[in-house]
Amino acid sequence: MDLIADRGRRVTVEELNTSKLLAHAAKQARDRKFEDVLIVDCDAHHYENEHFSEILPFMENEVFKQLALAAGAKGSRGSVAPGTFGYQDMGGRVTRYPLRSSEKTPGAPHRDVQIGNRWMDAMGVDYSCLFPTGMLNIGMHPQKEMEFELCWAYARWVTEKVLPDCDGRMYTMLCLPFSDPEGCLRMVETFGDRKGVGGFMVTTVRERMAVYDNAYMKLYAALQERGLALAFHSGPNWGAQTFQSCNRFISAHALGFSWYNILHCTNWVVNGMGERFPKLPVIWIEAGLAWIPFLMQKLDHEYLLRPSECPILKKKPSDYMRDMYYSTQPMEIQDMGALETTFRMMNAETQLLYASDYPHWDFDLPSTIWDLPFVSEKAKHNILGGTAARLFKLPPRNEGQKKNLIKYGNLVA
Amino acid sequence: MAEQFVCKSSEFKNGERQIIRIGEEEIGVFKHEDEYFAYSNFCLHQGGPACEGLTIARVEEHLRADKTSMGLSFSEKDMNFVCPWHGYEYDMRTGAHVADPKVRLRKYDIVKKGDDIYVVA
Amino acid sequence: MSSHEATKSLKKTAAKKALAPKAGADGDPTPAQKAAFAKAMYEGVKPGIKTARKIAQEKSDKAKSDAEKPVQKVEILRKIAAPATPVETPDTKRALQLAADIEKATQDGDFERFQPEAQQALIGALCRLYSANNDMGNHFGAVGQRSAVTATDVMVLCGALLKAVDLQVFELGLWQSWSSR
Repeated sequence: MDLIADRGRRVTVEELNTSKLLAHAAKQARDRKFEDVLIVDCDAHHYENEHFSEILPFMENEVFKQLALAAGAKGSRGSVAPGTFGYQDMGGRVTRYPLRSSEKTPGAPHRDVQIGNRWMDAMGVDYSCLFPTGMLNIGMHPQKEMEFELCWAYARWVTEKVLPDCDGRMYTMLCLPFSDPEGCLRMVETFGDRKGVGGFMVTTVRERMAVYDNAYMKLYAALQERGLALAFHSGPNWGAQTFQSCNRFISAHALGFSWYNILHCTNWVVNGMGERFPKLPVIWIEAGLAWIPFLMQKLDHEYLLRPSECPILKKKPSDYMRDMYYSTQPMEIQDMGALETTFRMMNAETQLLYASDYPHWDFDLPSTIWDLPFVSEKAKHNILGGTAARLFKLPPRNEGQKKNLIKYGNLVA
Repeated sequence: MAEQFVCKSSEFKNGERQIIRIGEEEIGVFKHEDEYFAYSNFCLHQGGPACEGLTIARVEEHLRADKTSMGLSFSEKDMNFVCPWHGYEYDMRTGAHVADPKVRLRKYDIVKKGDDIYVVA
Repeated sequence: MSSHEATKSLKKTAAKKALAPKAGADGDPTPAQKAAFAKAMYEGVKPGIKTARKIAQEKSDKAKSDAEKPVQKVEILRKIAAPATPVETPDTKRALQLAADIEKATQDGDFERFQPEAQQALIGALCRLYSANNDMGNHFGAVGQRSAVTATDVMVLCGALLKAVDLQVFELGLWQSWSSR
């Protein structure tokens, strides 16, 4: 297949086959004997926005459903979900973006499951937490009703059509319509017990979001009661006021992912949410790791000066941050000393969860963790899957994995 | 190190690539503007198939004497090839990473004997 | 060390030996010694002597170890072809000729050679053909690499095309972002 490079020049590349594209990842997995390591990818994506025709019929409200279906019809100038702009594909340099539609997935199971299995098998990943792509912008929809309807329809579609097809290797944390606290609670009550639902996810790209609002306490309590996780998934938003002075996508992207998690994590911590819901597992996803030591130091510093602004706290902000979980990707492997300090500050051995973010452009392979020189064997096993296996109750897939889970205290013999 | 026959130059068009395996090594052989270049096909970032992605002219930004930018443009002479996994971009003639020349793919010599093209590996 | 280098170093030893017995008072070789050194270097190692046997042995050992090495085969994993070169159909030829004529007329300042209705027909037909190709997945740049079209030319025509179908520029932007173009 031809791609367009400079000045309209055509360049031929092979059509997309995920297994073939990731052949070198498969070699890494074989060389490192990942077969015996339970690997959980706590943040992988599918392109649900390419299946809107399957999803929209699950909308509840007839008026919104009609609007959405009509917007998707040919010739319509309508649009269902909010979008952001930017160049995730790097002008086609990351070829799986422009080539995605060329990948063949004949017959059953569902296309997204077939493609998911290909990358999981190649990387040596046993379980993937499946997140949407287009829906990551759902927080920017001005209508909370539409936000709820789309989250609801996606949740039904993914739990009824996609996950049942995946042989238990995929699970999900369903996208919450956070602008609608009542709707969030309804989602947890309806979908919280469904197979493959490990928790719920809030997209942090939002112009206004008060995670501390009293309106959400029922939601957090409902999640805690059920032993479900609450994840915050970050993203870029070049169109936001904050990023208007960024003239390159790299700036808006690098800052955006960190910024939205920094923002909401700060609010979460200083409002004592960790004190109110100590048993609720909270996961911060896709902002990398470098922001964590920054925020720990910043908040601890100011907390000692202004404790009267956060009287609920019984320990330092960084202590609450160390109680929460973080996904690895996109891990800043630039300065090993800095990374080692980050691992130490966040208690990576128990709090860090491996994530690939595949198929997005800055995905990380399991080897990014496995090959780190300063990490203990136990920590490697925990980060790659042991901790997630405990959190999401994922069983080992073979004897070797079982032995390792028991050895490192992630499974009772 | 031995010379390994790759193909006939008459069968190798400009813009074409061959990915070959010799033992454990995987090598990408490019023909670009009638010259041959051969590099390890393992990206130095995370091991992706470095030689199998897009080839694209280097993007440049020139400054005027007063330090104002003339904006972004494609180079007239420098060509890069890009690892399709994450976009690591390498110079076609040297195999060096565009942003950090210390990051350099292993380069293999190419020997031409008559119409035959050999890689020294 | 290659066998060639080994031979060379042995030759040097032989030459040094030739030089060894009686050096000049200041330690520098005499002219006679220099001549002997050059002769020894030129003659190389004489056959039959110990040094020659050593060289022969080294050579045969190397040949043997080379022979024992498994021959590594070159396996072609994949060939990624260069983009197809254009196929010249008679119609393509005719269209290219027409394009060249138009280009020439523009260069000559003969802007009336192609009347507005002809230009409109060409623009309209090409617009439809390009879009149809695009829909089929046949993506290629709207203008070739060596085109003399300037950014201003493009803006003028794009503006006119949008106006012709009553579209605003922001609508184009919206459509492109919604449809991920």
